[in-house]
Amino acid sequence: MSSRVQQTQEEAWTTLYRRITKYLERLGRNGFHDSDDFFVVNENIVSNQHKVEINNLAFLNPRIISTLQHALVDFPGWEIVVGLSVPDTDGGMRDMGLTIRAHEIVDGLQRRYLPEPYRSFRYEGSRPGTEKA
Amino acid sequence: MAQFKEAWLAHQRKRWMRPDAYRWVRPDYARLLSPSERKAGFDPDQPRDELGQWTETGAEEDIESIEEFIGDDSLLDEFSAASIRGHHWVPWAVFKNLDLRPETYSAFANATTGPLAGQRHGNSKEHMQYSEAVDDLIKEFKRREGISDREMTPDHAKRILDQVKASKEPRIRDFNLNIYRREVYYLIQRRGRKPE
Repeated sequence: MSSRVQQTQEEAWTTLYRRITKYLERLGRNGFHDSDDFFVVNENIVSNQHKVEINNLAFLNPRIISTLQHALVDFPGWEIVVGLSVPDTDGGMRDMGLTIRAHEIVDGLQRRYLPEPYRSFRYEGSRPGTEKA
Repeated sequence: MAQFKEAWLAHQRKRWMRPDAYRWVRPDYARLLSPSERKAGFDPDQPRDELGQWTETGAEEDIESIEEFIGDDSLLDEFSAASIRGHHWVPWAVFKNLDLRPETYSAFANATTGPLAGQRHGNSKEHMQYSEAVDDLIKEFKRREGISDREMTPDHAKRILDQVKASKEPRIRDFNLNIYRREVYYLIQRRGRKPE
């Protein structure tokens, strides 16, 4: 990848990172400890994706997800992955999440493992799928 | 006498500070904050009541506020280390809050895999777990060496980086292995598509 293209990607990554972080930090605490609400991954390792790992299930609120989707409005082709882990019935942890794109939300939440009210959350413009969808 | 001073201060705040004073805060205010204020999540954009006290904001109120972030897309220096393409062996989230010497900060900031091509984000909280594990590793290193953040040299940073790369701690080892595997798989797939 040429340095000019790389510079553009880094600028886009940084701008979106700033938007996501500044918005979410008004609602909760950003960090990698269990006591933090969420963690906006600050590694530029995927050319067109950002990721938010959440501890606090309140961040699955459809209005928050909708706002994050709106943040992508001028970044065509970019995605935000929202990932979480919840206890499953076998005593382990179950990974699941949402993939937010400007035109759709891929809903990979396995609601039978989520407590209420999060189990009832629905996302406008979403379709079922997995992180690979 | 302290109670009178507090009452006087409260009266002055109410008298001189508009509840919407946050509207006049410059967008890049964060660069003017001290490190402790940044860590505390200080946000002068947060609305105040008539006494000048911060008020709570809910998700509903913040839905429209994303617009103010879309208009101002100035880059902030503090994110320049994180934006460097590639996986940081010591995550920026871990070393950005340490009181490091500039040369030691640079040693961590520049220690990356370089740009990656085969990665995709999954749903697991692997980044959180990796960062926490590396944070624990650095704390243990400082304890064993008897050094503070400020006393950490680039040589110390190199030794920490070597420990991270060789770590058998599953949260660190598995994360780095998965990055490596995805890159190898991507290269194999790409090579397989080349015409003969």
